[in-house]
Amino acid sequence: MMLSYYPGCSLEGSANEYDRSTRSVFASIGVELKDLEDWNCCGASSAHIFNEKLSIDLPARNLQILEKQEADMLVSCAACYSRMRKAVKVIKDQGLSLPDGSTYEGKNEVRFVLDVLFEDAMLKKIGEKVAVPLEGLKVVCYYGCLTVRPPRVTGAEQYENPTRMDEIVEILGATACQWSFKTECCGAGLALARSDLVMKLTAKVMDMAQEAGAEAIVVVCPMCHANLDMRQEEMSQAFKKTYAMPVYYLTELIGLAHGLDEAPEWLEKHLTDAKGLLAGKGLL
Amino acid sequence: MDEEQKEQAGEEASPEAAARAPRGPVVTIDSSLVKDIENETGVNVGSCFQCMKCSSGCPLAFTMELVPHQVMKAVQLGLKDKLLEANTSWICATCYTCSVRCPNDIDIPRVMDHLRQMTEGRALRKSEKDIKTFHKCFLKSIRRHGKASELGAIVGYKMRTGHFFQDMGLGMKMMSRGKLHFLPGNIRNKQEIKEIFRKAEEEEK
Repeated sequence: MMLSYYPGCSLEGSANEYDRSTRSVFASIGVELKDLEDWNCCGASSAHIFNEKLSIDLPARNLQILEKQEADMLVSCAACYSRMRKAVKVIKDQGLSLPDGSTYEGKNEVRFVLDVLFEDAMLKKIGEKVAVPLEGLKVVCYYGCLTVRPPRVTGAEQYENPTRMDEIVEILGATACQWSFKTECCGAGLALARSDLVMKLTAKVMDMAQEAGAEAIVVVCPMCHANLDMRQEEMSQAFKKTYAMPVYYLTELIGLAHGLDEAPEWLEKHLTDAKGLLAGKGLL
Repeated sequence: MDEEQKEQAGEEASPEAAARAPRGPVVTIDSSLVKDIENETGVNVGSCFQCMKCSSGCPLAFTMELVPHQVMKAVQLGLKDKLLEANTSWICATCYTCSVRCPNDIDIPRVMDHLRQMTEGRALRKSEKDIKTFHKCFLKSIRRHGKASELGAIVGYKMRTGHFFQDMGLGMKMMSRGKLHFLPGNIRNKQEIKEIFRKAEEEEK
């Protein structure tokens, strides 16, 4: 099986461990990833804020490139997935042409990493390759906003209580704790300009995770990861409470469970220590 | 004598009449705004019947001057100034919680985008302006390189907003872990991106 891989800007930059773990895990389960030729930024939040047409045409250029491939697109970033699928919907609904004037046929689908991994054949392979079951690791699965909303764009069937990540985490041997903050917003693009608001929101997420009995949070979005992982020291000072909860990408956990050699290197990129918890449980 | 006659005669109105009198400013409804926004965005703002599901779930409602359902009402009443002076559209994180719960399926985030665009030319408070500046820096980077150089966008943002020292510690930690690259990658066909920007800006006019 082969997929056209669209990393997006964050995975090339600040969320590099998500990119590396995605590549390693897909190799581990026997799926070939071919990078989408000369891909461009999807526009993220910034494009739709200023200009509706821009917010469709930027991802549409990638759809244009995808048309010429022989494989579906794999996206690991929730925002890129959302914008790409939104472009597909608007182009189809309004009969728009692609930026180069050509007609969009939708030969290949745009697929989110979580949905691809949840395919029966993939789940089987993920399970088969588990070499280090993540026993004793209690996590909460945090889906955030754009992986599920809006459902007409994402195709998500469960958008108030999604469970796909939870099921995969359980296959890896870890415990996915039940909690009520699966899809609560982390503050998204307010990360720099209003980090005070982001910290308020992420503090709530972490408080709820703790209340649910979790020791770590698992994510499938580089923005959620950044917001949860990067300011825990600052939050501890601001809210007079210790925040030291590791945040793992789902692909990192899969890689760890598969015993991939390069997995510990990914964790070194995190700002909040992500190795101590696992080492303490003999999982590293 | 009936109530009107009593009022004309300068006598104090009855409790019932007093209860019917308007409390606070009387609003003259300008329904051109809701029609304009509906036409320009395709969103059925007029359908909002103030059930408040949106505001109840909005994660940032606690800090909005007008919460989502109030924004819908302000549009329906045509209170343009009140709408555009509120911080709401810039605070909105586009999380879609509101629209996923709206019983009338109103695309509130789309309205928020439109309101942000309507604030063009108006003076914004520093904290809202900073949010706008961040997104502008991000877009500038995309226009130049075809991809967002995170470092480029962040540095641009810090310089334009004067927040030089904020997050310096964080920035250092990110750099030391290889999370921020100095040199942005350019895509090969940069000119295609410039063309996309140009066409999009032309259409806005």
